[in-house]
Amino acid sequence: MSLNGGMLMAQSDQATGTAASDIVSNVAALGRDLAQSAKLIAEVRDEEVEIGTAPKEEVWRSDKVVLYRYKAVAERKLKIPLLIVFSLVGRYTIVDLQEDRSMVRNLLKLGIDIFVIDWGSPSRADRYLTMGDYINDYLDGAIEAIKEVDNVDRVSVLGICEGGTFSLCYAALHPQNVENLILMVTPVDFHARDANEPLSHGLINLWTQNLKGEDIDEMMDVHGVMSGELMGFVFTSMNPVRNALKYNLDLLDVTDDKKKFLNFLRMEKWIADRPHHPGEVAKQWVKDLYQNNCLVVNKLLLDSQRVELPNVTMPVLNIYARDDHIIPTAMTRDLGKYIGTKDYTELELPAGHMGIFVSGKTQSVLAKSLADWLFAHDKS
Amino acid sequence: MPEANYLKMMADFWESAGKTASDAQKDLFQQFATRFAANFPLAAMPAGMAAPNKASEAFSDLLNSLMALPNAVKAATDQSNLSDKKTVELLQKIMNPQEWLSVSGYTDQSIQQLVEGPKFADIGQLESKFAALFKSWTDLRTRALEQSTIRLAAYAKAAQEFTGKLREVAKDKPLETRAQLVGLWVDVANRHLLEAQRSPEYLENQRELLRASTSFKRAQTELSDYYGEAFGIPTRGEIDDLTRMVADLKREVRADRRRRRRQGNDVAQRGNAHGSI
Repeated sequence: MSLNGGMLMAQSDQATGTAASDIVSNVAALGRDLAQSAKLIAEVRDEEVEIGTAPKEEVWRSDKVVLYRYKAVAERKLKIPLLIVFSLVGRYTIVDLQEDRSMVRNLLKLGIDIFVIDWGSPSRADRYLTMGDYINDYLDGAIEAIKEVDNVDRVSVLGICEGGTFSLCYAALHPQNVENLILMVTPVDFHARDANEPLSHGLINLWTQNLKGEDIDEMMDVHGVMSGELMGFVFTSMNPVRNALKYNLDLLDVTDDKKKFLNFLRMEKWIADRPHHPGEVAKQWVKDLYQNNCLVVNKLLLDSQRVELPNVTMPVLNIYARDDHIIPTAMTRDLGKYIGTKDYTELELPAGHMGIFVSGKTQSVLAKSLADWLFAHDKS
Repeated sequence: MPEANYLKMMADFWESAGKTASDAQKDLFQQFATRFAANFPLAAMPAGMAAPNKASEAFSDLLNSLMALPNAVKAATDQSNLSDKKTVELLQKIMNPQEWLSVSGYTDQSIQQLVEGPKFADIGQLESKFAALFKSWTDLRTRALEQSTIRLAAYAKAAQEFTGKLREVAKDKPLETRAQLVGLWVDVANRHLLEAQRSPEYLENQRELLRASTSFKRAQTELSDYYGEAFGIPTRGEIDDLTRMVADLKREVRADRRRRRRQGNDVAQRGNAHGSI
């Protein structure tokens, strides 16, 4: 394709000839903003940009996987502790990004005892770890450890995104260990689509289904991992122009306030720290789930065990984000029709995929709704 | 750092990732082909050499036709009384096609990696492996250029629509803030890019680009393994074999720990049951 640049230029002249002085004078403050943001960048040191700072202690580890327990800040109100299981795609620190944007701190204040799994940083040396290893081994090991240190028979599990799918599989395979299951922005039906969804939604589904299974096998054989950089590139491509302007213009909107600027940098720090996916996990995730949608038809095999969703009989709360372009609501919304429980609740929040944890709008709603649901299901 | 430098640093954000990508890569290709031809017999040259040239030409044609845009913006802003040259520069950068291609540097990074990788001139006995590597590189380069062309075409459509919308806006009510101006561009350009990224043409290219990237990486590994064998260094395949053995072994150890833990729990439960009798 070749466009007539001269024609385009003429149009641009016409278009901006009338409006140019208006438009350009309206952006005249830009230079000052640029100077201000540059000064802030020069002033702020990386060590000032802290994330995931709620105090916690290590209680168990296996290989690279570590289980932490957050320190209580209020009288404990529930006997059953809550385990947070995040995705392998990003870091769990998003649930405690900063003091005033922290699901963890909000739940701790409400008297809930919280554990969290840190999956660590898988490398090519971990390429043969499978979803079975993560679910039947590491996750199970963490839950057994909690049972032991807290002297309980079961644990409430809160799974997020891919961690939600792992938690759902765990609950189907080991229902005796799960008191309550809470899922957040969790993909379940990988082929479900809404007819009128925005252009930016469901691109991962489209792109993964565009590949053949052998493409994925070959890619993992050669690279050993699905790299964090590749995942970052995929996420950037889902909103290409907006993301391209982030450092040039979004940054300028926060430079009048150091606090806002640090908020911006904390999110950047979280985004930049994107772990690799072990190759075998990536193969299962893309082929068995995104391509073949095995979970909802009870055909997903983990360590030769079939994951049967009707075995999920404990109470389930499914929280999803209305504007989630990574896991569009159609992928998670109908979980209730696949699982065995009669106690199923859905909660939709006005946010995006990770905005659900860090948005100012959801701070007051998310933890309280979650805690209220847990209190309502407390059997002690 | 003086304030002027801060300003320069911020303005240069726009240019840092996408500087004259097409020219640099075109030169690179030429240098590479020349050096390769000088050192290896023609029979060893891989098939499909014309493909990257063709893709490169299509890409260059489109890019060159769009390079008039920054000047168009400059001409328009020169008519205003704006004294803030940095703002004018920034606006020009928004409308610079080279910047559009720097949105994501993933593809170009892989090319850069190749450039900084093995040198070809001094190794005479490895024609076939280098030829395989070169072939996979030309395939990768071709696919990357095809993708850049698709994205550039989408940006071109967006730029046309954007200028049209600016004209319409000027008739009614001028844009009042910088956010409005940028918001308008983001809405228009994002839509065109997303439509392009859903198109059959893009999807086919994406598939082929991924395959080319994988083939290239495999050719690199085979070459490094050749040296590994020669110098007694473990090859990628040997390390992967060891990795698998360790993974299997650790899996067994973890399973054994679980078994022992459950046995312990069973004993404890039996003890409790006796205790309650």
